[in-house]
Amino acid sequence: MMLISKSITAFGSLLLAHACYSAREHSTLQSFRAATSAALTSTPAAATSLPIDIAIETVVAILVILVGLVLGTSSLRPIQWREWAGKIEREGEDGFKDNNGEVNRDYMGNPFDFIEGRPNFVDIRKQRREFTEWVKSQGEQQK
Amino acid sequence: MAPSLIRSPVQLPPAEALATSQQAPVVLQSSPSTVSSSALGSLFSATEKPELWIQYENLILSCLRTGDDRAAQECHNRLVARFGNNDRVKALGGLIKEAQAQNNGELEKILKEYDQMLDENNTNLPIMKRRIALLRSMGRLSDAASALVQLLDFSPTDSEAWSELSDLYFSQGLYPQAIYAMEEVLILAPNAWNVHARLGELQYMAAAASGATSGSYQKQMAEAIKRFSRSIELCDDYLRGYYGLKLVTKRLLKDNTKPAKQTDDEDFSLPDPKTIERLNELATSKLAEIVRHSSAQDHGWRGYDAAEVAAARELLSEDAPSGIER
Amino acid sequence: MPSQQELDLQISPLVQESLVHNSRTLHNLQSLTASLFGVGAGILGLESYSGFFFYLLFSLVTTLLVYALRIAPTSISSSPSAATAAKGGVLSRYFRSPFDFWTAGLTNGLAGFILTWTLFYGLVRA
Repeated sequence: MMLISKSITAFGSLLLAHACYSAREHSTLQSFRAATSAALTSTPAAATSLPIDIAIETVVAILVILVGLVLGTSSLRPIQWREWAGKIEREGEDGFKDNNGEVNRDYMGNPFDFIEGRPNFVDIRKQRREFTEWVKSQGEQQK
Repeated sequence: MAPSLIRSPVQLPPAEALATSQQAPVVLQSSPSTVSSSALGSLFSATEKPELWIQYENLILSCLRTGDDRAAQECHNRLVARFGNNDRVKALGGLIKEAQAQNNGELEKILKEYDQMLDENNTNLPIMKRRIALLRSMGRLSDAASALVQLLDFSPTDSEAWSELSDLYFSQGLYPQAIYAMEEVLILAPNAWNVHARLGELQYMAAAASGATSGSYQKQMAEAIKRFSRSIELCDDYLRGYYGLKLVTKRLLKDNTKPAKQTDDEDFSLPDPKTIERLNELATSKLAEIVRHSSAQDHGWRGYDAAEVAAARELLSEDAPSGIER
Repeated sequence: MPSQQELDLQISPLVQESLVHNSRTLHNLQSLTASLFGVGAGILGLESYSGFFFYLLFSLVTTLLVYALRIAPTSISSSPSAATAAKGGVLSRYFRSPFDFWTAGLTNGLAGFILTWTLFYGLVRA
């Protein structure tokens, strides 16, 4: 997703830069011509209008960049509590990845997990015993 | 994939705890051993991220669990280097000592150290919590309970402590007290769906313990239904909530009790059997959906705990011996 | 006695973090695109009202694109609970009021638009 968005944006920027350059060239050319023709006639007013192809290129470039940028926005999150909570439960980390496939930094899982997990009250010796038992049982399974 | 280091590792199953603690060398190597806290120093050295310290804390917990004391000590050293010996870091240091203690004598010594620290400053919350946990770990439950009550006396908004108290009472079989403490947690965090589900579970167990004949049975079952329903209301597709709801309604349907007298206790009487039937059907269909999607590893359904899904499948298969395997 | 709206919020609360996240995402996009529109308006050499009309038009296109590319697809793919979509449209899943969503962009990027508009107008026509 990120790659598509980036390449679309890059392509659009290229178009826009080209359009910008063309417009600039056009206007210098116009003013040059106006300066030389001013000696003959006295109507430089028509010099401001832009050729239609440059105008179209500009608008298309903007639209292309727009699509690229919109595709690159991070995905929105549900604001209804139950949907948001359901997303956390159902999708876990999958639901909170940004476009690069990394989990968002502010994703905490269920923010109320600590109430049940109680990290400050952890009984570390019990956890250790349980872990060694688990390792043993794993070892037996493999035999 | 190893679980994120930002999240607390306490509740992880052993396999994932092992995976977490195996990340320790990588994290320790990739981050600088000291981070200067002065403004000038931070211009030249690596910038510090708040996540790093959370990572260290969680690494200490999971490394101690898996027996990797060296890495835990290293994490702790870095925390000390950054924050000095503040309360929280001290508590982590105590945790490491607890984990390495070989016999009861050493534990007593650690307990004395905690007491000493509390003498200097008797509102030192992290140390107080460690002391309570140690008391509980040594089997001195009543001491732990009284210390916990004392803690809650001056810090009544500590939801974690209320939850610990509830668990402590629950482990002693004191259901009404456990339920009361859990209700206090709910006051502090009214939208916590897991707390609602936990309270429902407590109510259900209390009802089951008192037996179908006792007077409070129906009331507690009704309350359990309400708690589970609220947890589902707060969280779509909440496996635990639906599981509990199914358990309660199934039992009620099996008892085939009529909502005998609806006179006492105005709003905590059982709903009529038809409603219970429908709740049961809803929970069954939802559980079946979750189990189906989750075992197929459908996109967007991978967040569930494998053990919980397995339990739900078992519950469903008890219900209907055929036809669930889809 | 709390009002009906307060009661509703008690029963089905909103997640503040998500609200902030969504409006920040939209805001970032709009301030970025506004300066882009300024570049376009400058190149085209638009003046006075036509420039502002250009801005208005493209801001609307931006929000339409966001709606079409980022919001509408989510209602089809990952919404097992069809009840929510029926209640207030897909938009209410992500934003409090549709009005905010459609109009907030106009004020967000106006300053950036004028800045780049005048800059590029000057650069191209100099």
